[in-house]
Amino acid sequence: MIRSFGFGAVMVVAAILGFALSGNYSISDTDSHGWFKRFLFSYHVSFCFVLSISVGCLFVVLILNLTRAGWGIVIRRLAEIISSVILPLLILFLPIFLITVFGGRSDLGSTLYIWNNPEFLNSNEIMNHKLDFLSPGWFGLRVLIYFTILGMMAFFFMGRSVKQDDSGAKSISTGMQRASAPCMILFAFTVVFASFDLEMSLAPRWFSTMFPVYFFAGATMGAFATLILVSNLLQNRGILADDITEDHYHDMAKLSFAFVFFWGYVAFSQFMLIWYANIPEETFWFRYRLDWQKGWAIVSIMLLFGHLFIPFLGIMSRSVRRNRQYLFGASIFLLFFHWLDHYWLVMPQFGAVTSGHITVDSNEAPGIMAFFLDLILGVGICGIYAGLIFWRAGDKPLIPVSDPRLVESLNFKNP
Amino acid sequence: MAESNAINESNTSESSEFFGLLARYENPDSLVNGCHQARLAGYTKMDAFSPFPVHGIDGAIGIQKTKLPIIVFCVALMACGLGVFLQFYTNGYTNHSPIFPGYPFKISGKPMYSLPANIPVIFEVIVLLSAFAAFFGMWILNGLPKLANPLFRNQEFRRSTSDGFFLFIEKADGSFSETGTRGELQQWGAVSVDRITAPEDELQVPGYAKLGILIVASLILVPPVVIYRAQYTKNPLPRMHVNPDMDRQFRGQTQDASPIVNGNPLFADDRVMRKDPPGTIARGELARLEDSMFYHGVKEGSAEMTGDKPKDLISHSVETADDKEKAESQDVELDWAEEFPRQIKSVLSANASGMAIYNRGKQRFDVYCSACHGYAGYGDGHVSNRGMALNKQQKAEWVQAKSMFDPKVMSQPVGRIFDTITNGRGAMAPYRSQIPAADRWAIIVFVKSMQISKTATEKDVPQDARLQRWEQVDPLKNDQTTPPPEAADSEAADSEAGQAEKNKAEKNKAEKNKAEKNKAEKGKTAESKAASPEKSTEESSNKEPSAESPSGEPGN
Repeated sequence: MIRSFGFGAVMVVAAILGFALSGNYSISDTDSHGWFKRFLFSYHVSFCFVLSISVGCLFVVLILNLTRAGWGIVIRRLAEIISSVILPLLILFLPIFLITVFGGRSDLGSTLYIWNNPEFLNSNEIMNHKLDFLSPGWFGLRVLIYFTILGMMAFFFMGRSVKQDDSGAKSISTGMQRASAPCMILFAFTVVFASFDLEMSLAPRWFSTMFPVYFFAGATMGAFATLILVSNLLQNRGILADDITEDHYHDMAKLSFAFVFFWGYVAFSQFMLIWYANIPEETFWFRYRLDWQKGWAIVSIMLLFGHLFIPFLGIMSRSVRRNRQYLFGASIFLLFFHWLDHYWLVMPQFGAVTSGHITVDSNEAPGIMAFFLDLILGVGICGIYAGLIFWRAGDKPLIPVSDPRLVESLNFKNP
Repeated sequence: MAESNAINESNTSESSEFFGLLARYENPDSLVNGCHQARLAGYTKMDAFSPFPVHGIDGAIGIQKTKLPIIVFCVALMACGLGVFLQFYTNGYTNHSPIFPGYPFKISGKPMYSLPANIPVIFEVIVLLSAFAAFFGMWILNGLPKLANPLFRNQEFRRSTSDGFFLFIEKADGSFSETGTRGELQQWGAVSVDRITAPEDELQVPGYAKLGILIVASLILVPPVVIYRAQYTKNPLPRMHVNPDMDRQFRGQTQDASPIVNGNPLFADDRVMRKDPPGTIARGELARLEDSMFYHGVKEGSAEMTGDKPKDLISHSVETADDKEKAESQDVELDWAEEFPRQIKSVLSANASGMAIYNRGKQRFDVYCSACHGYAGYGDGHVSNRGMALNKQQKAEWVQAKSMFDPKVMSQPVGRIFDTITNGRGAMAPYRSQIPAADRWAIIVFVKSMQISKTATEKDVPQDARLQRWEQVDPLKNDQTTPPPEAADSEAADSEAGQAEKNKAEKNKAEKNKAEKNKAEKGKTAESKAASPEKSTEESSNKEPSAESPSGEPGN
C-alpha cells in the first residue's frame, strides 16, 4: 500500500515537473497558467479513468446481486473493494473541485471547466440557458451528491458482504439482493448526471444524450478488464489460485466482449446521429476530434480499432476467453484504450479558446512529449488508486468466505 | 444373445432394413467407458444417448469441435461485403457502370456513398445472415430435418429419456460386423444389445404426406397468381385503403382551397398556400435578396430591392399577372443591369467555360424559347407561325413573338432581357420556375451573341482569332453540314422558316470566313459568333452596355 502510494506520488510529481518544465502550453497571451492548465486536463483524464473503473465495478456488484448470479460470487468481493474507493477518490478530485468551486467565474476558476469563464459566457448566447446549472456552487454541490450516493452505495454493499463473512447468514444475501434494485435505479441517474457534469460539461456548448451511456459502456468494460487483470495478478502470486477458474475468466471475458461491442454500438450511434443531422451546434465536437492536422483523427482511428475492432475479434473465441495468460494481456490492452477513450473525451477541450467560436482552435497540438507526460501522470494516478484499493482491501478476505452460494460459484462450469 | 433378439416385433419382419446395433448401458460411467472403447476400436459412425448431459461424453465418443462458428464467421464476413456492395450499388455509386447503374439520389446533402450512413444497414445484414448461417448451418451439420429415426421403433430406446444410456453403432461403419460388434459391445459393459431395423415399406414417404406436400405447394402458388392477376385487372373499384388515415390526411395540397374549420375557411384568403410572414426569408432565398444582379437583373442597391421580397415570388405574380393589361401598365422600367453579373462574367472570361455557357444557353434556348422565337431568334417558331396562320383565318388573336433583332430588343440591357424571361412580358409567360437563374443568363449570352452577330464587323473579331481563322480555315472544306452559302443575307434568313435556323451557326461560320477572305466590309455577314463564339460571348458581356452607349460602334 505504502509502496503503491509512494510510487504514484513520485510519478505524479514527476509529471507535474515535466509539465512545468517542458515548455509553453499557453493558448493565448492572456493565458498565464498554460502548463498548469495542461496538467489539470491531463490529471482530469486519469482521474476520470480511475473513477470510471470504480463506478463500473459498483455496477458489477449491483448487477451480480440484482440477477442473483451464482458464478460471480468469487469475484464479487474484488469488485466490492474496487468500488468502495469511490468516496476516497474525492480526495483526488479535490484540486479540480477547489479550483472550480472556489475559483468561481474567473480565469482561475475556468482552468478546467470553461463554463466558468466570464468571457466565454458573454460571447456565447446559448450559455445563458445553462448558466444556472453550470454555476460553481451548484456544480460543487452536485459533485458531492454524486460521490456521496455512489460511495455510500459501495460502502453499503461492501459492509453487508463483510458482515456476512462472520455470520454467513442467508438473510444478508437476500437483503443485498433486495437493495440492489432501487440502488440500480439510483446508480443509473447518478452516473448519467455525473458524466454530464464531469466530462461532457468540458464542452459546455455541446450536448449529447447518448454521452452517459457511452461513459457507462466504457466504464463497465474497464471494470471487467480490471477484474480480469486483478484476478490474474493475484493468481500470479498464488492468491485465489484455485478459487477463480478458467470458467470465471470465461464469463468475465464474455462480459468484457459484450461491453466492448456495446461501447462501439453506443459510440457509433452517438456519432452517426450527429453526423447525419449535421447541425453545427453538435458537429463541432466531432469535427475537432476528426481533424487530421490537430492529430485527433489519429486518436479517433486508434480508438475505433483498439477499443472496438481488435478486442472484438481478439476475445471472440471461446478458447482465448478461457486462457488466463492471454486475457492478462488483453485486459491491459483494453485498459490502455479505456484510458485513451477518456483522453479523447477530455483532452481536445484543452484547445478550446475562450472566445467561444464554434471551432475550438489553438496552436497547441498534443505532441508526443506531452503525451508521454500524460501517460506518466496516468501511471502515477493509477499507483495512488491502487494504493487506495490496497488500503480498502486491508485485512478483508478477497472472496466472500461465508456466502451461502460460494460453493456453487467455486464449482461453476461454463457449458 | 437370446434376450436381445426378442425385443421388437418389427425386427422380426422379413422385409426390413437393418441399420445397426443399439447397446444399453447401466449408468453414465459405463456409457462413457463404452464410447471410449468403441472409439479406440476404430468405430466412427456412432452416437450416444442419455437422459441428461454427461460430462466427457463428447470427448469419449470423439465428437469434433463444431465447425459452426467458422461457418458463421465466414458468412458474416461475406454479409459485410454484401452490405457494403448493396448500398454501393443502390446509392448509385456505380452510376457509370453499364451493368449496375443504381439509383443516384442525393439525400440530405450527403455524399453519394458515405460509410457512416451505411453502417447500420451493413450491421443488420451481418446479423441477419449470421443468424441464418447459424440456424440453417446447425440443421445441415446435424442432418436435419430428420422426419423419422429407426431408433424410435425400439421400445427399449424410450428409456433414453428417463434412465437409459445408449450407444448406437451404425451398420455403415467400416469396422462393423454384426456378430463381432455385438460381442465387443457386450464385452465393453453393455447390458443389452438390440438390432435396429425398420420395415422397408415404411421407409417410403407415405401417400398422405405426398398429398399434403402437393396441397401446400399448390397453395404457395396462389399469392403469385393473385399478384399477376392484379396487374391486369380491370376492376373499376378503387383500391382498398389499408391505412385510411395515411391515404387521406388532413393537409392542404399545393394550390388547394383552404380547408373549412367550424364553417369558416382556416385561412381568410381561402388559399392553402401561405405567403411568408413579413420580414422573414425562406431558406436559400437570402442570396436572391442580396444578389440582385444575378437573380433579378437589377443593379445593386436599386429601388427594386428595398422591399423585403424579391419581385419574382409566386404570390406576387399571382396577384399581378392575372390582368395582362394591368401587368403591362405596371411594367415599370427598373435600373436594369447593363452587364452580366459577376458569376457569369467570370465564367465567360475563361475560354473553355465561356464556350460551355454559350452552348448551354443555345441548348436551353432551343428547348424553351425556340418554340415561339424560332431557333435563330426571328420570332418565327412553330407555335408563333401557327398562331399567325390562325390569325389569318380569324380564329385567333396571336401576337407575333418578338424577334431578337427587333430594334427595341436590341437596345435592351441584359437585365431587362433577364426580367423578361423571369417574369414574362405581354403574352409571354414567366419562365422563372422552369429555368434556373444561371440558365437564364446562359440564354442571354446566346441571345446577345446572336444580336452581335447581326451587326458585328471584322473588328469585333479578336485579332488572334482572325489570324487563326485566316490561316487555318478553308471555308469550303470546313463545313460538314452547311448548304451552300446563298443564305448569306440575313434578310433572306429572316424570312426563312425556323427550321432552317438550326444550321445557321454553320452557315454563318462559312459566311464569315468567306467575308474575311474577300476582306469585304459587309458587316451583316461577319458572324463573329460563329467565327469564335467564346470570344464573342466574352465580348458581348463587355460590350453589352454599349447597346445603349453612345460609342457609335458599327455594331450598334
